[in-house]
Amino acid sequence: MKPVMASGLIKRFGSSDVLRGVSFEVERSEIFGLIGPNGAGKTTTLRILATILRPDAGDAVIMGHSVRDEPDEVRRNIAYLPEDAGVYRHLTGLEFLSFIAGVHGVDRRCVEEGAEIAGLGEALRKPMGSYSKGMRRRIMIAAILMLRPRVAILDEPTSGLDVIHAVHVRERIRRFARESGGTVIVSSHNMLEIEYLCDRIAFINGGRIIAEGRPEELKSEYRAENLEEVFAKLMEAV
Amino acid sequence: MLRILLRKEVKELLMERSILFGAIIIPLIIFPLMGALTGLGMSAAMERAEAGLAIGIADLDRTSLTSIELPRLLEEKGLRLIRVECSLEEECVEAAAKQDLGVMMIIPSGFTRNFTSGVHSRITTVYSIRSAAISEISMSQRFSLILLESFKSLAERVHGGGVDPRFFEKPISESSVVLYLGRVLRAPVSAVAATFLTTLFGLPLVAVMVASYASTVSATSIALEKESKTLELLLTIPARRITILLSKLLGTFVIVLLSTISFLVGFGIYGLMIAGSMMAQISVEEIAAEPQVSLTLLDLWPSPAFLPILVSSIFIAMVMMTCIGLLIGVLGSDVRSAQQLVGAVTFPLIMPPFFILIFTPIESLPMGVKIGLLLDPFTHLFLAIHGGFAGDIASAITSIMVMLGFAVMLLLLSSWLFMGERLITTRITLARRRASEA
Repeated sequence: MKPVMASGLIKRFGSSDVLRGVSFEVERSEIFGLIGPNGAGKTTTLRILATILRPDAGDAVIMGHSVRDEPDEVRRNIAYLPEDAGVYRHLTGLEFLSFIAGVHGVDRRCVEEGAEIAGLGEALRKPMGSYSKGMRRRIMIAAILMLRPRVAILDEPTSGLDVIHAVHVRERIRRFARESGGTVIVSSHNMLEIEYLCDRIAFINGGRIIAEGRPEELKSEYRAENLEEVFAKLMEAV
Repeated sequence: MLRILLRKEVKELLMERSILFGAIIIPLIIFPLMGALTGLGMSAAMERAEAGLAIGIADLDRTSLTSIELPRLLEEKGLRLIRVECSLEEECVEAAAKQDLGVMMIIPSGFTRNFTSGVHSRITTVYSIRSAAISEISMSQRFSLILLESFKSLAERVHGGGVDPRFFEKPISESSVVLYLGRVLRAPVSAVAATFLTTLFGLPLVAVMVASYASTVSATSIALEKESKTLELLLTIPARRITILLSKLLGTFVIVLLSTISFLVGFGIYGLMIAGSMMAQISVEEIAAEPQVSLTLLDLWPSPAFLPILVSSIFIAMVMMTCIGLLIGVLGSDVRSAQQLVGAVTFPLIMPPFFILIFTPIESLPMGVKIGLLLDPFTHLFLAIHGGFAGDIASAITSIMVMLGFAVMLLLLSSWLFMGERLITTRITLARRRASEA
């Protein structure tokens, strides 16, 4: 069984149809990218996978557990990084890593690994309220990856980061998938980043997946130089 | 420059409907409403008390002045007199308690001799206070004034203008005995009133502060998670939502407990300072003339059941307010709007019963107002405190049970809201509704 199987996800907010039947599957050790413009439905899809939202129709099965019927089981198998996730301003970086390790019931040694992933040195002993946006994102990524989850769900992991922090974060995500065998689902509207990071991608627009495949396959199919061109051609077709 | 900036500030703040609603409109509605209801209740209570006010008169002097002229004067003032037969002051006090007289006057032996000689005379008054509401205490003080006026008239009739003018100003001094919850307190009724006020106002004020703080803390706790965008992370940890909710509730309780301790210490110091200055005042004005014992809150402290009633009612109020705060935290989009919503929601719930019940017993209120107040869960907080203080344990326990029912309902509502995705998708400001973003 594949670690992640989403089928026919539909979600409405009031009269607005945000997802109109999103389906995809992700393999083990694979980095799967959801890309699309703002409001396409990326965050809603990831929130459903993270059990924060409940689909109006359809289901997603993560490590054999339904997000509709077994959300507690799903949460034991995932780690979720929300878009623009904030920090507890009065906790130090180390305290935060310990807190996350504690609530996930994992070995305290993973805190050391988290500290190494964050790569923030002495700043880990300072309250996170004093961290820059890049440092906050790094500590959040570290908190997720140190847990070695079976499925890591990362919503816009490098959004708003400068080059140095963005490179660090991308590198740690790739290393996590390669070394731990975990599955990663990542969303972004930065198509160049996704092209670099992901093994396979899905374009999402207007709550529907409009194309899916490996970056090279998609570029070849649409005779494009990069994924941005692929997306532009897809939008023209729509 | 200042004018331009000021105009911008005022417009910006007033356009925030939560400020307009919570800080300007609500007080404009609530305070006049409370004033009208309190006035209505107080006048109803006073009218009822005055109409049926039976004044006992125990005449130990037995002269024509005390048995004919004085009673006639008092009846002219609209008082209904009941003669009490007794021969010693203690016996008369017991008789007043047995006959359940609201007020009784004891005229001591030798009164007429002093009075007709233009010598300042002393009478004893016995006040029986049944409920701890300002309207009842006011009645006692009002009677004290009527009595003084009556004796002034009597002095004028007896002496014309032939004695020291200072005698006319205060022909008698009043030594009062207060009967309260089966206890006999020898203290000026004004001192008892002041101590009552401290209790009536102070204890519910503590309850109000604790409860209000609980709602603010819990609303902030959720809204802060939303505002600092840590809520989603928290909701995906492998813990049941009920565990997260429980941690929020308990966290709030800890903070509120610390705040309560701090508040009580501060309030206690304030109370001691006020009591100290009050006693000093009494000793100068009254104790010098009347050798009465000092009066403290402990003298008025009711049955041992009062403390558990007080603590449990405040605790349940805190639970209710914590739940209301959680609900508001879930609905609020950020800390500021949540805190403003807390004020807008809790102020109309707490303040009307707080003020109205200080002035007037609930029984004296018109039926519609009474029902309206009883539907407010926080009315029962004050009823429990007043009931416990007055020794009416059964009604205090009933009030606590009603509060418990409200608290359970609010807890269920909070957990229902906390369990679903509303925690993420519902965002209300008083200014606008926003759909969740995609």
